[in-house]
Amino acid sequence: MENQDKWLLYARQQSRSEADAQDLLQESVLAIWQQSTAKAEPHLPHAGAVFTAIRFRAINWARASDRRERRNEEYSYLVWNNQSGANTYGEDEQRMLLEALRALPEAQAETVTLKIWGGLTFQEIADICQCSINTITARYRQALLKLQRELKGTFSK
Amino acid sequence: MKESQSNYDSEFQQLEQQLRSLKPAPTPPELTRKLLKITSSGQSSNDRSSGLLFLNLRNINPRNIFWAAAAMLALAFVTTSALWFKTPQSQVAQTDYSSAFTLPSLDDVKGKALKFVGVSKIIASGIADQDAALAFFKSVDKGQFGQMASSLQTVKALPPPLPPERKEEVLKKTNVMMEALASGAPTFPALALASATFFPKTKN
Repeated sequence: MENQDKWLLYARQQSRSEADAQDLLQESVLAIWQQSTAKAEPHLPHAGAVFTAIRFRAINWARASDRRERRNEEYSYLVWNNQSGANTYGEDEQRMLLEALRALPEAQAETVTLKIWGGLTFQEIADICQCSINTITARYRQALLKLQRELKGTFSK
Repeated sequence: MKESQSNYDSEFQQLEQQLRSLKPAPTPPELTRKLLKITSSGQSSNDRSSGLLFLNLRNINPRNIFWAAAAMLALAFVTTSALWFKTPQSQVAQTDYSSAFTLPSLDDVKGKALKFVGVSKIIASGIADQDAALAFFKSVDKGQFGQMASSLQTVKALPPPLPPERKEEVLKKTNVMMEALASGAPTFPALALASATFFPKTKN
């Protein structure tokens, strides 16, 4: 379960609360696992399949429970690991980055999350988001441009 | 142009490195334990972190909605049977088997979304002999309905087939119903058909 942190991060990005994110991840892993056991080929869930399942469920939840409104502003899906030595940057820099990421449109934030912290290729992200690879690369570039503009001078080594 | 593209990409690489240096928060141990339990045992782990499973509609599996619908239809069926068994025997004796009633087409029955899952599977798989099926349905009462699965074992021992003049008509109706049940999509029309077939109108 080496990918669980990535999955949970994406689930947080796709949901509106920590409880929702955890439910989303748990249900997605369970669904993937049940599919594999139904085929009598039990195997650990494939990372891409879990990302897809999370996205699919998040959309369904939104449809089913009228969760179309934007995420609660107080809920930060990007919660950094501040344990000793885990991150290179200080809390102020992290907060700046968090604010910049939160200012991104949902689709761009999703692309950045999957690319940077999910470790996926553009093609894999395109498959998950069910759109073309050109759309994904364009979203990614736009997102980075915005972040660059927002964070100019913030990250100084 | 190429140079500017190169600068552009290198700037992005720097930003990407900065972003990657931030590590997301680790998964809570409780959730890790649940995920490991799912993948190690292969058993369903339905306990939720929110703890409000039955108060939250999105947590209800769509399959359960089918079961709820099946239960409601079963209740309707039992009610119909109860009414049947409350019918005075004098009226039963005067049952008009030739009275006309409209059968829904197989396509009508198949096209509906609700699945009468449990009972349909039991009926479709457990009753091959349609005469016996007819006799069995006629014999079902409120108590037996709940134990239909086990009762199926005794189907063969039920009363003899219908008289020849009734047999063709009943077989036709039974065929329609059995096909609908076997198709996996029996619905309220199928139940209505079953009721109409096995609990036909009586002459007053």
